Amino acid sequence: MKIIKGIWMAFKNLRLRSKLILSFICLISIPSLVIGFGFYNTSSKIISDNTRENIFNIVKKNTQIIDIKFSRIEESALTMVVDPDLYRLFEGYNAEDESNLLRLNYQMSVIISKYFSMYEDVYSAYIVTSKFSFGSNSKMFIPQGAFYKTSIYSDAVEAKGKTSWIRTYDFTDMFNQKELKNTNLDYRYMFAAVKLLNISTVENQNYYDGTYSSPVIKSLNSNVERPILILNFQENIFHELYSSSLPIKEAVYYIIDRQGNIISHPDKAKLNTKETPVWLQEAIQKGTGSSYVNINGHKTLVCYDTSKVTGWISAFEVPVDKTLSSLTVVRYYTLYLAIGITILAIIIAFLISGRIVQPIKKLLKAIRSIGEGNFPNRIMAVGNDEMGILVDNFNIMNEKIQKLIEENYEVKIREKEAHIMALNLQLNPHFMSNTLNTINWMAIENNQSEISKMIMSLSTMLQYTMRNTTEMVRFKDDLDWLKSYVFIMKNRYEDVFEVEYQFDERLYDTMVPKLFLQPIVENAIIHGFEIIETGGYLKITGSIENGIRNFAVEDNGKGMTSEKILKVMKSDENSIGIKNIDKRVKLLFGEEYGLHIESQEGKGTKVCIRIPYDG
Amino acid sequence: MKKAIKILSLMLIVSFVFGTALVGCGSTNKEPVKADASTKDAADAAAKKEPVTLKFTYWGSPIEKKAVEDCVKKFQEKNSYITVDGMYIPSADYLTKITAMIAGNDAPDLGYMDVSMAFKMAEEGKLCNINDFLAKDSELKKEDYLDNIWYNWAPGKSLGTNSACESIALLYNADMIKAAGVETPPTKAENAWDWDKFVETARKLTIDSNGKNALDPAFDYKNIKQYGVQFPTTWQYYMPLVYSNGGDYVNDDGSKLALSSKEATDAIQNLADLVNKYHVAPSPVQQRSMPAPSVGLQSKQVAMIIAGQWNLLDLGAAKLNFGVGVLPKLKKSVTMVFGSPTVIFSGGKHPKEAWLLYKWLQNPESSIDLQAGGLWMPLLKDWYTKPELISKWAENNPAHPEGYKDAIMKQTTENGVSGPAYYVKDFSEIDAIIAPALEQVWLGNKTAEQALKEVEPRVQEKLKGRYNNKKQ
Repeated sequence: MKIIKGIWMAFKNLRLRSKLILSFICLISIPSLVIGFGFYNTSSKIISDNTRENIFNIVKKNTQIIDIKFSRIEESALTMVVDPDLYRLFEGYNAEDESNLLRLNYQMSVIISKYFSMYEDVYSAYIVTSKFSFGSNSKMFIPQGAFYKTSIYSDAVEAKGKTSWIRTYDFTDMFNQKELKNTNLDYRYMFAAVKLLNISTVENQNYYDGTYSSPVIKSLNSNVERPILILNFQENIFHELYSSSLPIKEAVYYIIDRQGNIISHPDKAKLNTKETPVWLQEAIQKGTGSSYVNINGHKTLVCYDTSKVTGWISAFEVPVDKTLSSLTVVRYYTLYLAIGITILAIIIAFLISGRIVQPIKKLLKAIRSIGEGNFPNRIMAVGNDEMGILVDNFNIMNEKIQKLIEENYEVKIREKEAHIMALNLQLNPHFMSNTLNTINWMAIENNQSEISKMIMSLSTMLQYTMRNTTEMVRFKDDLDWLKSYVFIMKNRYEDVFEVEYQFDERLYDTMVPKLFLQPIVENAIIHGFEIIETGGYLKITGSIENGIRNFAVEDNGKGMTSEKILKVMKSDENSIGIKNIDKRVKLLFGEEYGLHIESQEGKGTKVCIRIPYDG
Repeated sequence: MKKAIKILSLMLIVSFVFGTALVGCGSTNKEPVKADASTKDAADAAAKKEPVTLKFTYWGSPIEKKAVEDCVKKFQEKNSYITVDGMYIPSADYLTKITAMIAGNDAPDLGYMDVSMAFKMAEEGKLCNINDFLAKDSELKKEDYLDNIWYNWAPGKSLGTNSACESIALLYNADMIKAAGVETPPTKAENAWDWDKFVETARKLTIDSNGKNALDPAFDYKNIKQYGVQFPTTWQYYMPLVYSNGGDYVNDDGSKLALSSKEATDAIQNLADLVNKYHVAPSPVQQRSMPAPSVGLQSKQVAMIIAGQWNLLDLGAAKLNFGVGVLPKLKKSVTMVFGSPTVIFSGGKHPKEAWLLYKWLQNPESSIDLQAGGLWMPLLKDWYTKPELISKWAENNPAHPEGYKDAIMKQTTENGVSGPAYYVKDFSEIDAIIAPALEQVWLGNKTAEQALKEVEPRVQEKLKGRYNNKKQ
């Protein structure tokens, strides 16, 4: 649990790209491994099932082949028993005359070859009597006296005429031929079919009218010796068939009888010996089938079948790991495929995660620099996907934030500037106002009406600025203040200039930025009329046109060069007021509004202010 | 959503392409590279010559079969435009099969053949005259072959030679000779034992179950443990002695049976006496219960055998300490040459190529394993005279012991008489009468003279004369 948690934590702490790559690799390689594993398991099951069935079929087919051969040979032996020629030869059988035996041998050999020469598998065929073994000696011989002491003979007698099959025997042991033990005998190991020949024949009497009498069955006189047919087979016929059909070279075949005597085996040393393989009991019980057994610690597939003719069991022992050698191909194939897919996954993961992470990296960088207060330029959006939209939105957001910050920050600054300016003018207004009233009364008592008027104007100005702390004010109030200001300035400059006011009456109740005309008027008086002694003319107007309020302050002073205008607009210590007004108007009403200066040197200056009119 | 499908399908395609690429790599089968020289030659030759297929039939033991297969394979490699369809037929079925093939107009181009049948077919014009091929051949002349191996059915007409040369000799177990303390059978013709010497030696070598030899008065011939000599009772084994005694099978023009003449009956009687008088050889009935002579030598059941030289193969393979000697002589030391012919069937489409294969099969070089193994002897004179060729087969191998060159090789070329099958017309039919008659002789029921005189009239009816082959 802890480990999982640890891994989870480690995963959580990974960079996004690593996470993505890891996820991709997992997503692709885990299924491919699971599929591969499943594929391997399924195919190994199919292969081993198929192998089992195939090998079993081979064993069955081999047994069938052998059975067909042997049963045909048995049939021939059966037909031979009732061969009329053979009957005739034995009817007058005289074992005492040796020359007769030799002559009989020619005739018997013809009969034997008639029945058995077509079977390639029959190595030698003899009709054995106590005196003579009839048949061709071209390949081997039957030791005369010894035959009657063999188990072959007793088996044949016991079977009473039925064919019995003799398991592989050693010729030198069976016939007690010790002298031949050390010679090279082609017929050292053979197995045999023997049959006691109860020779008889069926005779049909043929009448001239074409009918037949009931057949007459004739048997040999009971005192005539019953010969024994022995058909020898080389163990090779099993060896050739089975070794050529071995599914793999490590497989081993057995032809074994129910007592465990080995009839055929690839290891010739095992011939004619006894062995009890672990599967023998099962094979005896079931007759035919297949199963897995453990032989010397190796899992081994055993397929067995029982011959219907001989009763011998034929079996294949196949080491399982060797049968599945084709599986290693599948195993490697699956492995290579999984590796290939994983590599592919890594490449794809790198490519895809790169594409996903790249814009995020850019965003991160942008955000970091925003954090530091630097607003970057637009980030290039890649594509139209979610990332693209995110980058686009980020760009928009970025711009808005920039704007908001600017608005918020600068409005505050302008306000403060205006306020400070007003405070400067206020300077303890109550004390000033009271003082001014006292002075006013003193002036009236002394008939100094000019002084009284000026003091009244100053007082009005003070009260206005003291009373009004809001940004926007009624234009009528602001204009009253401005008129007081102009009256004072006029007296100060001893009537250097005349003033004319001209306003649309609708303007009086509209709201305007506080004291917005004062810096312009001040500028016109202080700078415009700087050099003239008399004749100055100041015209202050206000009109409404297409929903826009146009205020203008016009003078006929010294005017300005265009450079000077630019300087004034770009803030200069002398005319900070004018630039301030422009900014305030723009902040309050938008970029399209603001201040505009027209001037000609020596002729005068006209400053216009555009403010929207709503209502 | 659409986009998701687009991406998914794109990925599927990518993985599919990669997947198939991988699968493709895995399952690419390498074309077996088989541009070896022989197929290249074959291609060249095929461009030059029309391909030819020859059918060749033969019999023989498993060893012979393999050797012939190898020999034919080498022939095909050398003559790449010729394909040889080699048909092995077990000897028991051989004549039946060939008869059926000829009747079915499917005769082979060339093949082994039974002597009597070959002569009959040659007379019917079904076989090629090998002399015609030799006359045109630039490499070989008739004189290059041994003289006593030709089957001539008429003057100037020959159906061919033996498939291989075979002759009869005396083979013995050297250990048994040494143990009995008798003389080793001589290898040179001039030293050949006379009959008495041979009988005496055989008697010394015959031992009963009490350990007494046949010279001992107390010898028990009914319980013989070791025979002095063994010989099969067919014509191949008595005829050498008949020739040695100046006899023959038929007279010079083939009009009369010569086997019933004194020279012949004496020789046969001498052999029969070995069985019935001296009890030093097993009778045919006793032989039925004995292993083959070459095995008998190994198992020490018999000390000497009158046998075909091909037994050297088994004896050599068994690593037995054995020796070879010339046959005992009656009047002169001879051996008999025999075998069965290889023939070229007439009416084949490719006689030229058949002759090429015929020559190839006759060339000891191409079947050197069988020559050196002891089964066959070469057909060409040079292989008996030129030391460098002799050393290729008759020396330094287990099948050719010391003395072989004198006792068999030299004896075959210098004193080898062609057997009756080379010249007696209808030999098989005549032998079918004589063999059962002689059985009475081998069993001791009749003398050779009696038995042969009895059947003489019946044989006389069958006599049709002699083929051109003169007695050598």
